[in-house]
Amino acid sequence: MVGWRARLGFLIPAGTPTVEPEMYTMAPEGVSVHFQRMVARGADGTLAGIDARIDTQIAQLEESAELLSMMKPDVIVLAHTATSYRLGQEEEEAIGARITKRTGVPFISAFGSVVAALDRFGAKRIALGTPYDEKLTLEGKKNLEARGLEVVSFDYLKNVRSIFEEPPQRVYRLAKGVDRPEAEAVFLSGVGMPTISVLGALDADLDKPVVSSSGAMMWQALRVAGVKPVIPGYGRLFAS
Amino acid sequence: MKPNPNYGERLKIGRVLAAGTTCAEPDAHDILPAGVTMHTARLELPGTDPAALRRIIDAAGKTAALLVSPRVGLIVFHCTAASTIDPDSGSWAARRIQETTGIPATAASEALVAALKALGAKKIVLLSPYDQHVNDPEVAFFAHYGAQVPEGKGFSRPICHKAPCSTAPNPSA
Repeated sequence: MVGWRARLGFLIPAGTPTVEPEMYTMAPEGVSVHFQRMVARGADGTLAGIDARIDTQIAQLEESAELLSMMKPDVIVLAHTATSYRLGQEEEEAIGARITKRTGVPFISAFGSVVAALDRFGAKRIALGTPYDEKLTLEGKKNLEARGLEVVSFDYLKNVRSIFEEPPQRVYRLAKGVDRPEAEAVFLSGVGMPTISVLGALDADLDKPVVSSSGAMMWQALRVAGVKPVIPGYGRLFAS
Repeated sequence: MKPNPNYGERLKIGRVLAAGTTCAEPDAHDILPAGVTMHTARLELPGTDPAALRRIIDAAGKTAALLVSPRVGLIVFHCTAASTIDPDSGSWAARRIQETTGIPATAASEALVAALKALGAKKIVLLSPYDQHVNDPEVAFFAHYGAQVPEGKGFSRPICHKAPCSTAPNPSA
């Protein structure tokens, strides 16, 4: 579908095969989605080498954004939560400002979108589920806390061969497992982990907002592009 | 309820696109069969003169390296203007991609020749968004592969690295 309403541009890790189909599936009528793969060194989809991959992605971020900006998107999205964890809010905002100055296009990140989505519900106490190891999960927890959020519970998927191949039932159980009565929302971190097919079911079954990196970045990208983010089937974040 | 995404269980296709294209991703996605996904790597198109178009042929392999880690089964060099600038430029780009990535590759030009053969078309009308200096080599390309172009008409739109693609003809053309 030609993006007569808005064009969304995503900077994705080179190795991910899941983000493109998820964003194509979610895009509302008249909204087109476009991608550039970020240069990264090291094995993909595994935790081994993730630090090296993030370093290269950050070093080349502005160049990647410039290539993506050539199709004149309404927004550029950094679609990698762990890169945001590494950067921290201040550095990410500085890079974002440089990218916007260079390209003229607003810049957002998946993690920044998650924070905005949680704020939309006034949720302060968060349950966190990730496809990472303990170290990176704790880095996520620290980043949430730096944004004034309390992590009441967290867990991560065990025996992950490739996060891109995680089946929906494992993600569903992860979310259910980390949920606590006192959690006001559940956050599933990791853009590459397939989540959108279980978002609606989780929101209904847990009876609270369930926010994933992929879902949140689509929601926020639409808002920045001036499109009302109403898409049935993905939980209350996308309700009218 | 929106449909669930497929994750390329049957085939993942990687594509090397000119960075400015706005149509290639949505158009292809609309006609993908079930279980087949498309994955993008963009390269800069520095201009539309023959030298610039030949330069991106050379750059195709490096850009295609971004498509190795998502484990695509096929890579397509997707720039029509560059892949038809010479009779073998698309095939050359595909070879470069295959050498760099170890993944089977093809090009828009090879797809066009195969499609015309499948249709048995020997005489075609060419409509393009390009300037005449891009149209001319494309007409020669088709003639080389046995399809005559009695009429070639371009909208004289800049190729989309400078202005967004549009399906509307340029009123001044």
